[in-house]
Amino acid sequence: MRLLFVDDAPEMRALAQRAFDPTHDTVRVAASCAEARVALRDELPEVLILDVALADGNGVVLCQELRGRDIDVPILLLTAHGDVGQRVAGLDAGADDFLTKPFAMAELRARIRALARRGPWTRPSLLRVGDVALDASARRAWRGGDEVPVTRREWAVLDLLLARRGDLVRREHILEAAWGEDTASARASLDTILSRLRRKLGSDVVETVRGQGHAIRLDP
Amino acid sequence: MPSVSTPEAAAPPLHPTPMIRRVAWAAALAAALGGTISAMVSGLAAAGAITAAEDAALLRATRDFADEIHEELLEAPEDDSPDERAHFARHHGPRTLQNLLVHEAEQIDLPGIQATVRTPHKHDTSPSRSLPPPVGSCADNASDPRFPRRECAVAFDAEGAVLVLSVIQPHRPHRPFWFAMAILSGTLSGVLVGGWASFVGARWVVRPIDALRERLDGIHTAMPSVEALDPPLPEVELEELRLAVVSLVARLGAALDTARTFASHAAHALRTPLTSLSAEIDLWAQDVERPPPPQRLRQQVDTLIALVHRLLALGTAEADLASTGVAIDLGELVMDTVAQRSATQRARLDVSTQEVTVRGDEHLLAIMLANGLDNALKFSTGSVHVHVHTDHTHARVDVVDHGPGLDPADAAHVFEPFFRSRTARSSNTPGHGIGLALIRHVADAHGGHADLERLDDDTTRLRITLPCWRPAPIPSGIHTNPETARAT
Repeated sequence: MRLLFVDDAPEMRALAQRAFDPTHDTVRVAASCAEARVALRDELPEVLILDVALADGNGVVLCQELRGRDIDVPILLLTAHGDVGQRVAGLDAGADDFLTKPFAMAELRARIRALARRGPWTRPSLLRVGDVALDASARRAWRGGDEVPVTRREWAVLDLLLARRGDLVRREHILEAAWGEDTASARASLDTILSRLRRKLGSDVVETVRGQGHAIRLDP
Repeated sequence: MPSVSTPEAAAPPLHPTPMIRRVAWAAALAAALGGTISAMVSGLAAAGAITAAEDAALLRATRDFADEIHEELLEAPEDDSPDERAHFARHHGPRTLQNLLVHEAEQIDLPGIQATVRTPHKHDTSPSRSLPPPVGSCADNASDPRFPRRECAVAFDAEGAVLVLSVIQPHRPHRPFWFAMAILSGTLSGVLVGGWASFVGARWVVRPIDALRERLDGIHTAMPSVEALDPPLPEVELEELRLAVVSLVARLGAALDTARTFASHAAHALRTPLTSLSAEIDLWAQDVERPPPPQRLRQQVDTLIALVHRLLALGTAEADLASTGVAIDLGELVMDTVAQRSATQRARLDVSTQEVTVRGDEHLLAIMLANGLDNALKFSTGSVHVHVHTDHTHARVDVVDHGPGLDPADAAHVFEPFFRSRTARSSNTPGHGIGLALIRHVADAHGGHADLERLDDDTTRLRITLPCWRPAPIPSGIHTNPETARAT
C-alpha cells in the first residue's frame, strides 16, 4: 500500500513509518498542509491519513480543497472525541472515515486496509434511485420526500454499491471491505443490513444475483 | 453502584412548612383579634345608642304625660262633654288623680304602660316601695323578673312629687346574649374571612418567589447559565436576590469552564503521546526477537487511554445532536459495546436488544454506553442486565446491576463530575468520578437524559433515555421529491 501520513507531531510520523511492513507498504509523511500538497503533487497515495489539527491549517479544510481538485483518494481523518462539529464538517468535506486519538495501531491498520480495498471514489453529493434520494456525503437519505434513517453500517454497504455505479459487487468483496472478514456472522449481518435497506429504501433498490453478489439499481 | 453515608444524612429530618401557611395563620389571628375588638366596640356603641334613643323617647312621653295630667287637674269637670264624663265614671269611677293617671295611660300605645305619681309625704300612687329614678332620667325596674321594665321620672309638682312612666321592655334582658353573639360572630367571621383572604393574599405575595425558584430550577448544574434567570423582576427585594444569584451562577460557571477547559486541554495534550506509547507497546509485542511487553504495561496504558477519551467526551460543548447527528441503531451500538468487553465481563452481561434508531454522534454514544456497562460491572459482582427498548417516541437503555445499591444521600451527586462515593474510595474501586457525569453529559447533548434509580436494596438501574430518530429539516438546495427534481 502507498500511504501518506500527515501529522504535525514528529513522534506520530516516526511511528507511522515503523508501524507498516516496508516490504509491502510505502509510508510517506508530511508535517503540514504545505508539505502534504507537495507530496500529493509527486504521487497520489492509495490512502491519505490526515490529522485535523495541523500547524499551518485545518485537515478538514485541506480535505475539502483536495476534493475540490478532484483528488478522490480515500481519506482517513484523525480527530478527537470532543470534536463533534469537526466530524460532521469532515464528512461534508468528503472524508471517508474517522479515527479518534488516542487509537490502537491495530485499529489504524484495519481502517486503512478497508479504505484501500474500496479504492478511490468520491461520494456523490446527491444520487437518485427511483423515488429515493441519497446524499452520501452528508449521510442522509429520503424516500418520496420523507427522510429515512440510514445507519453507518448500512451506509458502508451502500457506499460500496454506489461506488460501482450499478455494477454487480461480489458478496466476498463487500464482506472483506465492510467487515474485514468473510465469516458466518459477517454474512448474517450483511443479510440483515440488506433487508433493512430494502425495507427503508424500497425492495427494488438493491438487486441480488443469487450466489454472486449485489448491485444498486441507479436511474439511467 | 456507589454508596456512602454522608455527614448530612445523620442530621435530624427537617419538616419544612410552607411560608404561605405561616402568613395565613398570622393574618387569621390578627383578623380574629381585630374582629373581636371591632365587634365589641360596635356592639357597645350600638347598645348605648339604642338605650339612649329609647330613654329619650320614653322621657319625652313622660313629660307629655305629666303636662296632660296637669291640664286635667286644672280643668273643671264641666269642661268635658257629658258623654266624656259618663264614660270616665263608668270605666274609672270618681275623678281622682289615680283614676286620671289610669285613664290617660290608656290613651298611650306602649306595652304594659303604668303611670304613677310618687312622693314620700303626699299622695303616692305607686304600689311599689322602691325608689323612683332621679328626676329627668330613666332606670331599670326588675321588681318583677317576668316583665322587666324601664321607667323614667319627671318633676310633677313644686313639693317634690315625681311622675314615673313605666313600660315593659321584653327584649332588654336578652341584649347581653345578642351582644355576646355579635362578638362571637365577629371573631369567627374575622378568622374565616381573614384566614381565607390572607391565604389568597399570601399566595399572591409568594408567587414572585415561586417564579424565581422555577427560574433557579432551570439552571443546568453541568452548564450553569445566567440566561435562565432573565428578565429582571419588578419586586425590589426579589430583584436584589436575583442579582445576587446571577452573580453567583456566573462565577460558578466561570470556575466550571476553567476546570473543564483545563481537563480538556490536558486530555488533548495527552492524545499524541498516548497514541505513540500505545503503538510502541504494539510494535514491541510484534517484535519476535524481544521478550513480550509486560501485560500490566498494556493494561495501564489502556486505562489511561480510556480516561483521556472520557475527559475529551466530557469536554464536548453541549450541542443539539438530536437534530444534527446521523442515524444510529442503538441496539447494534450496544451489541458492539458488549463485544468490546473482555470475555469475563461478557460472561456477566445479559443483553436483550431491539432495532431502535436515534440521531446523534456515534463516537460519543459509544463511549457513553461503554461507561454505563463498565460502571455497572465495576460496582457489582453478579450479572448485569442490559435491555434496549422503545415506546417509538423514546429509546431506552436500561443497565441493571446487583451491587451494594445506591445510597439515597448519593443520588443527587452521582452525576456530578469527579464525584466519588465514600464506599468507592474506601473500597479502592478504581475510577475518577467521570463515568456517570459523562453519561449524563452525552445523553443531555442528544436531547435525552440519564437517571440512576434504586429498584431495591441491592438493585440499581441506570436508564438512558434518548429521543427516537425523527426526520430533520431538509437542507435548502436539495430536492428530495423526484417530481420537483425532474421539473428543475
